[in-house]
Amino acid sequence: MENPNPNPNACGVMEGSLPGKCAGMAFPYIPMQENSAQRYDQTQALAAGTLFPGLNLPFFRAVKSKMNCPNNALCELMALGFTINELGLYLDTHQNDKEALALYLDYVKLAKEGRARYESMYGPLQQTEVTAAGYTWLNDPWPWEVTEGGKQ
Amino acid sequence: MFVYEKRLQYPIKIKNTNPKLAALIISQYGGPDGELGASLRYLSQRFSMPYPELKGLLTDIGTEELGHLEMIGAIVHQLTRNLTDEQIKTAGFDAYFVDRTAGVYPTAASGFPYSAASMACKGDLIADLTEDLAAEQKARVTYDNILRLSDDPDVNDVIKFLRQREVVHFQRFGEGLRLAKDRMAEKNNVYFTNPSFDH
Repeated sequence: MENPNPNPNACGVMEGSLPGKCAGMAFPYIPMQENSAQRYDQTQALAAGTLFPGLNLPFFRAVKSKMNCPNNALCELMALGFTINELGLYLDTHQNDKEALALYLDYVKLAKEGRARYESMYGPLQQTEVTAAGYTWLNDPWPWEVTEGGKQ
Repeated sequence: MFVYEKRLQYPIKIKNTNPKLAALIISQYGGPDGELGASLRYLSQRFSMPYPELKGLLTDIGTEELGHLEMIGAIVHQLTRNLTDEQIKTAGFDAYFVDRTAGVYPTAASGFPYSAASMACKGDLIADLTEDLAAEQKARVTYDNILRLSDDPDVNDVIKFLRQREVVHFQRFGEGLRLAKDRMAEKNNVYFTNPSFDH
């Protein structure tokens, strides 16, 4: 085999160059998000569609678009639920990030309180939440009919 | 198993009926890069995944996609509420109406009903995760295209959110591939053949 341009600093035969390092070829590389990345608060996260400013890459025609979610029990719960969801995906690929895990547990606790607050005002989130008012699971509105906090 | 939670992931409050826009957005319900295909793809692929972080990622993203399917259904429903006789004749919606009335049916905007042929489950983690990266990009493009076609701020706010989720999912699938590569390298699987069979 010939080596047409020998270069002592080059990567190995089976490697190509990534920024600052060599890596095996014929394999897709996405950089790992680093631990302790900058974060939004939960309401900003819901509005942006991500907890992480570093991953917020909006389409140019939608940059000015604004979330329409008033400061009520449903929106609070949506923001907390979303942040838990987003941190959960992060932890799936960063299970040793202890700071993120602590934050996750904080949000899970806040969401438990948020669920109780929402259910006391608007009714059950899950079918098993039967209250003194009886079997209110069937009560309108269902989520696709909701405009805000129960109004149709 | 799955338990239903009686709320949407993101608020959807659409003021104006717009059947023409509904007939386009239905593509993200049952079209080739829609949320039904996304959830089925990820929730199916996870069965053959060899590593815990990939089983988790596909379960969690697949579950979120089911929530997005519900959101797209809510948008289509709210855009087709209280239709007038004139509105059902709207060019672009009339063909949908004759077949489905105002029902939310999994179909592409171009008229082709949902087909599992638009997704893949190859049973090999590199092939499947690379498919998932492409799938997130294709869904992102569809949302870009919806934002090019729609001037309803109530709709665009929700589409912007869903589009951003594709960006985050792409990142996580890429990280999942990286973690899988490290695990395969530990077993000297330098050619990255299917670790479920060969290593």
